[in-house]
Amino acid sequence: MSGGWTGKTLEVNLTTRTCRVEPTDHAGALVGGRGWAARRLFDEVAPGTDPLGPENLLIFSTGPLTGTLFPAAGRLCVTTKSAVTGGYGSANGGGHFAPELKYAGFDHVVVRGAADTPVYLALVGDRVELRDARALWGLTTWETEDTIRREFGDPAVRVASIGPAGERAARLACIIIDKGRSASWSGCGGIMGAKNLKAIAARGSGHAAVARFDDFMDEARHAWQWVRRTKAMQQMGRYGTHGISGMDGLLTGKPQGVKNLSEGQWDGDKTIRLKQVVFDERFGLNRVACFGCPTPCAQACRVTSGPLDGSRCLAVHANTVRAFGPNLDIDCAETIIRATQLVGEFGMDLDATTAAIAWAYEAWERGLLTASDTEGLTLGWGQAAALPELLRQMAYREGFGALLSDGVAEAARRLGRSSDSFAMSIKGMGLNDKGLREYVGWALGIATSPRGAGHLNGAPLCEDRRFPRELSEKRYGIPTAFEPASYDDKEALVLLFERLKAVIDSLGLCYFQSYWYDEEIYGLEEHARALSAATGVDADARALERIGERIHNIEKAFNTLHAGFGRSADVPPERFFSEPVKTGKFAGAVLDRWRWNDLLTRYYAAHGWDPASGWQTRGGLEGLGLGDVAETLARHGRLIQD
Amino acid sequence: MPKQTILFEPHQCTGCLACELACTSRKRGAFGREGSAIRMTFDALAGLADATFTAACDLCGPLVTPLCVEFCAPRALALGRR
Repeated sequence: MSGGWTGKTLEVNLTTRTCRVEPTDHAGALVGGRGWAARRLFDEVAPGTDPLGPENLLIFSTGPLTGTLFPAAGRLCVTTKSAVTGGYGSANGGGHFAPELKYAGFDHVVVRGAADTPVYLALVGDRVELRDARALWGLTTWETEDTIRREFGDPAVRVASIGPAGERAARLACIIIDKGRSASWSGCGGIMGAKNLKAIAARGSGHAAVARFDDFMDEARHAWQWVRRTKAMQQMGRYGTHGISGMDGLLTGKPQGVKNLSEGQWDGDKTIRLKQVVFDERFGLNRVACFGCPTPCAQACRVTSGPLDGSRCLAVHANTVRAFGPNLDIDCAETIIRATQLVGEFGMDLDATTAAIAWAYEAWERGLLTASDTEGLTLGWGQAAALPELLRQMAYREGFGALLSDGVAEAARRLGRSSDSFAMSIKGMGLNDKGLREYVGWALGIATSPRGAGHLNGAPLCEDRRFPRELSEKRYGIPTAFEPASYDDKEALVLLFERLKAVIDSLGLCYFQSYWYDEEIYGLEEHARALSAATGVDADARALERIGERIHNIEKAFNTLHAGFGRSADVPPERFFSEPVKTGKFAGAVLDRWRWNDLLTRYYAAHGWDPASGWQTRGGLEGLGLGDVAETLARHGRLIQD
Repeated sequence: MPKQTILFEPHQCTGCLACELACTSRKRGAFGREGSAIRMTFDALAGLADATFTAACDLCGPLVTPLCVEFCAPRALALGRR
């Protein structure tokens, strides 16, 4: 008896408008989800492929645990060649869409080609159809979801769609699920729009079956109770990421990203105005959880008075409130809700969006942009009035905002005037994060993330724990896991979490419910047992860890092949080395370039890569059973022989 | 004589659908929404949360706690009498 996977992959060719159901090929043995898609992308997308062109693949993936009762088994993985970095592209979104793909019968949906007129893919009522989307083209993501549900007469249809930003192939466009969840990264929304694919709608009557049902229910029940009794998860469900790390933290003092990440602490009075409890009190509706998740990390918000009356959004997370709050020096809660609504409706990755806007605000402050450049929009720190119009312009590629539609790196390139010196980006991907000066391991994880500037790969969360060295040794095998400023051994933390996250993304689960988020929560041991019970194929934690390393290496190889990323791409922007934190408990914190380079060398060596260039070696890849990947790299002169 | 029933508090509901998954797991031996005796409607932006029960609900028979109640993390569902 088997289970977990449905065993079916949908191959969609938009150019020929054909859909084929194929058996899911597990030869790569990379669990599913992100791992399966990474292998597929590496094998089929050739160097030189235009990310916005028809030859790029756009892969929507579930994992073997997706749709089951194992906690938080609702994540969607989107894999593609990045329109932003030119290298490996990967996005991951929550909500309820991925389980519905599973119930419709599919492990993966692989989209290639481009339609000549707008279409949407409907996987509803056990049918597979490419439907005319010309009437949907031009609608926001919210209107698209509502319209599709009306068309089918079924409010339970789940929709992943793009808005006006994606329709215009904007590189900061994302894919929106459930009106407020997002597969954000890598310009995947723009890639979807370039293919003329407006949406995927799913509504299946099927089920996620598992091989050993009683064993699986034991694992699911055990994990479910584990999460519910973990204090950190209870707090997450009560306060969300907004409360815990979005604004100064629950107990104050946590780093923030202020004014285009130029500072690490914000004005205290402004911080208080954007606290989670303020939003809860003044605007809070139900707390919201994703599919099958015991931890409602989001809260729907609605403004009911004032000039922004009627503004509403599904979730204000940490990155959301920082993006439109301290990063722009705006302390108006209603503006943040409105901006969150707009990026949801327009389908814009809010991290890339704030990186571009904050850059423009700083350019204004430095006199590099004036009112004549902005066609009358007033920018600069604290300018809230301009924000809604600026977002609209960015989405529609109109007016001044069109300069920002493809993200901060492109905007700085076009403006020139040395404005790249304060463009917050890594590998070309806009950065919206805090704590890079304050937590060295966190910075390393972000700087080396294969998809560019992402903290949801190897970046550890443990560095701010107040635990003694002995616990660090015991838990992580290194003495410095709880010493944020130390450079020693931080590469070990990043490797650990790179592998964990790769497995979690391949299972279909959410990262929060793991020992990344808190040491008390479960990890690969429990995942292995659940996976074994689900698929009937035995796995253990060590095997999963090795799979995680293989997935990471395939993604790295894709980057090397397509974008040539090496040491110079694995580094935070200059200001993290030259502008220390000014105030607060981390005053003076700044990255040290010599120690950073040494840390990178050790990180590369820990992966078995060439320590000097950061590229992979034949021996390292063959040791992971990836000899064919080594061959491909060698053919293009991008392999280090050893 | 009030009989046992499942009570629902909409303001607590987070829309996770674990209740449907748990119910279906018992009815079908697999996970999904099809076959669930509890049917959830949830739209946070519209402030809408509703739970209805079909005739197939047997309060999970011999189990002390119905599965939907057991798996409701925000405790929007509870076993009570009405």
